[in-house]
Amino acid sequence: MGAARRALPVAAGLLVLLAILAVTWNVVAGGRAGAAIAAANGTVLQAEALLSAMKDVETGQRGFILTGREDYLQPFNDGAAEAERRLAALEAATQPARVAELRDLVRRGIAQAGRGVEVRRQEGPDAAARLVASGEGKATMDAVRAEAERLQSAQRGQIEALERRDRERATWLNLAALLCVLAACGLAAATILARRRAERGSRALLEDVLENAPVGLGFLDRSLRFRHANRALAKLGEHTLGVEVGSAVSDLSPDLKEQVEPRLRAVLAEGRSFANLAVDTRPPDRPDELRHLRMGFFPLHGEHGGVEGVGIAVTDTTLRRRAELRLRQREAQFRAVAESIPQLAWMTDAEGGITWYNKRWLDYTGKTLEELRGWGWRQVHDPDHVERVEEGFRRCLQTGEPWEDTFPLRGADGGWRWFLSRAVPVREEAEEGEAQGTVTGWFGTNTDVTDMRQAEEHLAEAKEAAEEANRAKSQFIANMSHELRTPLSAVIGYSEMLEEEAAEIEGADTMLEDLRKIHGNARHLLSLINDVLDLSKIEAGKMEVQAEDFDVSALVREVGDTVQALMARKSNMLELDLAPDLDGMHSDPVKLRQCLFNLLGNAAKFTENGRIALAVRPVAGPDGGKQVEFRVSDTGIGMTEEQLGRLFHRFTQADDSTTRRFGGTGLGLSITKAFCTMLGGDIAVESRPGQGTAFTIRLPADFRDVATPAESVAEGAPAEEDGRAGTVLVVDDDEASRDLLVRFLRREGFAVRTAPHGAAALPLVRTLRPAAVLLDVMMPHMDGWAVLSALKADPELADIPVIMVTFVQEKGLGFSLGAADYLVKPVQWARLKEVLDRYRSPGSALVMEGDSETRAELRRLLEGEGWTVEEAADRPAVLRRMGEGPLPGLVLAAVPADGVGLELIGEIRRHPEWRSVPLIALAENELSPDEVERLRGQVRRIVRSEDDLPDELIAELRRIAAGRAKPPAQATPEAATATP
Amino acid sequence: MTKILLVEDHEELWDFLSRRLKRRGFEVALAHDGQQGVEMVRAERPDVVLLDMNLPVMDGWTAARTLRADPDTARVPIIALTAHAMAGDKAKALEAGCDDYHPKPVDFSRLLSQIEEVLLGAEDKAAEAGSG
Repeated sequence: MGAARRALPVAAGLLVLLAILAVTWNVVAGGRAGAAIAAANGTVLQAEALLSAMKDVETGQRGFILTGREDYLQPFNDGAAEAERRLAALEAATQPARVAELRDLVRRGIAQAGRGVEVRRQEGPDAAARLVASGEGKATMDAVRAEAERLQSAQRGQIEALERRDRERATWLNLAALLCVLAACGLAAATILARRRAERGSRALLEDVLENAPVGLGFLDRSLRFRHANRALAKLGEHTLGVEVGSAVSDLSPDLKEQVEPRLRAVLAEGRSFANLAVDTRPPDRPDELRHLRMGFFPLHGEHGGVEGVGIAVTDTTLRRRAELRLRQREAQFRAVAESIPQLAWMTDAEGGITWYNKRWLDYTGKTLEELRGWGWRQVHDPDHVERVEEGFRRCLQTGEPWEDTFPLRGADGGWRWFLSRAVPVREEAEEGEAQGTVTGWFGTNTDVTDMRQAEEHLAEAKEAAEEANRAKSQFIANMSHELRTPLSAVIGYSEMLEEEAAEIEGADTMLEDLRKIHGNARHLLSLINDVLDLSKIEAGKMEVQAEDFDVSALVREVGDTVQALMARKSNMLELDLAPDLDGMHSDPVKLRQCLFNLLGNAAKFTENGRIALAVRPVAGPDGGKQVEFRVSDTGIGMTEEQLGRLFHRFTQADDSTTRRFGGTGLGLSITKAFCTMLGGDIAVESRPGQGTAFTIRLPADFRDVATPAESVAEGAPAEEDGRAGTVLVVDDDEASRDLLVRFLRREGFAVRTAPHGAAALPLVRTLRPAAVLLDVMMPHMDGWAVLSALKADPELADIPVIMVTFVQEKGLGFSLGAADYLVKPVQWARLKEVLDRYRSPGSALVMEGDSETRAELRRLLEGEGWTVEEAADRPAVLRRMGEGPLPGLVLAAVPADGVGLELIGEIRRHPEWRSVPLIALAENELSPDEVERLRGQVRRIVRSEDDLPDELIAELRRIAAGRAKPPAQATPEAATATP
Repeated sequence: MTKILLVEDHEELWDFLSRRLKRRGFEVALAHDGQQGVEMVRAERPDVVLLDMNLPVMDGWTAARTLRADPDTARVPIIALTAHAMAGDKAKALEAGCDDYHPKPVDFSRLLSQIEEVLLGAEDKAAEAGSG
């Protein structure tokens, strides 16, 4: 536009120039044409004059011929001279060629006329008249005339052409010049118009800008009256200042006037400017509202330089002030929160450099912000952690992901405490099209977890101690029961013997009666002890199923006979109801017998003058197998719902009063239930208070139906696994995923057993007691939830960790049913490994100890710690064992006084493949310094068997186990420590 | 008369057992540890050995194995007596070469029938050995 606008006047100028050129050209060309016409006219006149001269020549000749007077010759001579002159002039005026013929004709005419004169002179008038009469002269003259006329007409034509051309040219040039001028005028007009329009536009723009500026703009005249106000100022005037255009400063509210007027006067008087004056005012109609304004005053100069008015600029900063205030308040709130939280807190810039710490941080570390600003926090970090911490934090700075870490920080007192630290990026508000805003910094906290960690450690220790205590309890009870049985055997034996002897003595009936009471009570005490012992065995996982073929009917009848006396005691009737189609069973008859005794004994105990029935019949099991049902029902006191709920719990009977009234240990039902479970069956109870109770046992007719899979799998287990990490049972119906799991587990050192569905899994868990169970959910026959519930409901199996491995996303349900962990398929192997490492058995331990009792004690201790134990009685046995199969995880060698142990240790240490196996020397006696020296560097620890067992040994075993839990790092021998 | 060797370290047990066995007409010899038991078998040639498993000096299992390893004593019937209530005791006793197993406390009438049984078995074996 600008270029076009500038081109307009240039074009107009060019056009004017063109017009001038055209006119000039016209004038010049017109002049030249005039000269040419004049010349042509001259030629015509010359020709005319030539003709006239020729006439003079002719007339003079004729006069002389007629008269013969010489004076008549005067015109003749003049005419001839004149003709010559005219010819010369003609030749000069036009091309000589065009005049050449005329010249010839003129000269001939003059010559002929001269001859006529000569003839008159010499021959007289007659001859001359004849000559004239011959017409020769006339013809020449006519020719001259004709030629002159031709020349003239040619000239006239030329003149006409010139004149015509001149007219045409003048017309065109004038027209062109006129057009140029017109165009130039037009352009000039357009330029002016455009300029005027642009001026008008920019003025309108300026006015618009002024009018719509967000700043109040206006001016006052010399009498300080508002003359102009833009919209913003008008609005401000209306709402805040209480003025309008036309009102004077003196109309302002007094406080406002006081702030403004002196300055306005100063502007008028001195031409000074004021910028950014803070003015606070209360709008006239809202006196309780304070508005904050910023004003600027500047002089407006007139044409002659004097101050003609005051320009004012006003902005209302109230909102900005409020926003600032709110920001400050929020910041104060944030500080208050950050200072009051129990954590240490900090903020960084976008690059991660610290910009702020809360007081707690500075108080804890005893440092100042200046010391720690940026990355100075490194100085309060543990050198063992700081690299990792910084690396982790920098990684999060790059990715923008929240950061979390746990590490110790040094306090002002030099002590270290552990902190769980978290930080999140602080982001700007995301702009459109951005997923999230730019990170402007990070906010982080450090939570002191020292106490929590300690509590966790204590808890773990306490749990360990509790488990240990529980193991010790089971062991103690087993031992105690054993110890109790020995003297009881004597009591029973002697009383029986005395009964026999008394029976032979006359009159000893009373004594015999008493001896029988001693015997009976001793037997009862024995049965109680047996119950406790059974339960201890069950808890210790040492109860075995001794399955054999037997006749169910015969067994039931035998039991019935045995309990007859018991039934009679409270006048109860026993009814046996045996189905006719009962076959034999393959199960553990001893356990079945004990179960039936327990149930019948219970029924007899809680029933008086009633009927007790034992009904036996074959039934179909849940998975279609054959089962036998034993139902013991009575017409006794029955039980409430609540009592039923506690029924199978150990050491509890229906309630405490029951114990007082009816006696018993309360173990019978727990044992019965445990036995039923061991035999692959279950037990159920139904009862109503006052109406009696019915217990129903269902057992597989053939124990092998449930036990066989375990055995066959166990037998067929490939040799590639050493299984030192323990056995894991994989329960999954999908063969492919089962195989995957099996391969992974074997590689991890576990022995693996599998079950294709839940129904097959339960008996396997019972017999295998695996270190862990991997359990799918969606399976035929019995799904994973049912298996999990069954396992957790069984007190013997509840402790076996069950890890759900499934596509089903029901974590909450899994954990609430008691799953130890929950992995969603596809399996993340690293995670599974992590989970399994928790349940990894430490491995196998080879115990060399000559004394079988000590060996048994060591076995118990090691098994209690989770080790699989192999025994060797002497040195050759150890060497044989080391030479075959996978190496044990540990060798525990007794070092008796004879030095065999020392030799053995030396041999193991010298063997290149065996030296990695940790060795514990078990010293029976005080070792001589020499012996200690020999053991140093060869064994992990020397434990004195008498006083140090088992605490120190257990501690060492756990250290080794912990070392083995992280393969492939091998435990290496350490310097031996001799215990004083 | 049938001679029974009772190897038992617990005094009350060997006392009443031996007395009751004698009342039933058995001749009873006593040994109080495994080593002594093995020696007594060699010296006394009993018809049946009642062998406690938890014995001092040499335990019952070792004693049983020792007896079975010696051709002179390999055929003597042994009934293991054990107060060990732990799993596998029965199997362990039979494995060590015992003919039968009797858990303590002693059920005297059952023990008597077990003695009868092993004696019968021994006679059968002897008959077989004699005829073969």
